[in-house]
Amino acid sequence: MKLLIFNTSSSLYLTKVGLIPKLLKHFKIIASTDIEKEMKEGVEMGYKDAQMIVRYFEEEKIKVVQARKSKEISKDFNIKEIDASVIALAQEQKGIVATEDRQIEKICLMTGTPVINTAVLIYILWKEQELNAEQSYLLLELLLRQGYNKEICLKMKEKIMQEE
Amino acid sequence: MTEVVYVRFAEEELNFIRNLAKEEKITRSQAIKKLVDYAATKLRLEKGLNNYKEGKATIREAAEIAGLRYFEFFDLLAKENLIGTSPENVDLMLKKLGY
Repeated sequence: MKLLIFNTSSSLYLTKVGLIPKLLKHFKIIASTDIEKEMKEGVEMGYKDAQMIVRYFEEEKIKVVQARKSKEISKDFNIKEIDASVIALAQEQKGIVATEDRQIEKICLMTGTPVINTAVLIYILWKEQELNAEQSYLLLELLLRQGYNKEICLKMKEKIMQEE
Repeated sequence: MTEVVYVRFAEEELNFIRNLAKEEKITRSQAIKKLVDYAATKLRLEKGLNNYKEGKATIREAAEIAGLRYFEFFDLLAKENLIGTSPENVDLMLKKLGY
């Protein structure tokens, strides 16, 4: 089973479209302790998506792991330690970073760390026959309505249509 | 710490400040401070958004520049349809994952 490393950005969107239970059938999911802390701040601020993620932490469906190389990566790329913790966990645990953050994506690509986003995960779940084409289109449409980048949603929709 | 700063305003700007003070029932100094606070908030937001759009900052760094918490700034990115990594890298992502 492949390992997904959650950043706050992707976990919020995967919650919005209700995909976490389906993802858990195909991936083991973990998050860093820094991300867990940030998510708890979101709960205090009243964000319902954050509450749902924290519930996954509490039920240990998403495991929380301390990253070891955060400081090093933070220094190398001049980014915050919490941002670095996501990349560090992916490198240490040989996982895939799930993020919507373009800078984190850029560093992942530079360092050869596998990276993915919510729209691409919808495509993968379609490929794995966890979603049918209709469901995938609806979820991509839902992402779009929730402020997701139009170009990526259209690209994923076209890809599914071509391969269907 | 506060400091007195002398600023020369044009007649048009002064009229605007006088009117604002009158409307809000505040002093001219309070009106000027209100305008500076308002502009500073707007400029910080603009700077945070631009830094993220131009790839100079992560979402968290941009949120800090904007003077917002992560979740608040993330909402702002959603309003601008800026959620999601770079569309041009999607094929590369899938290739690396074996799809």
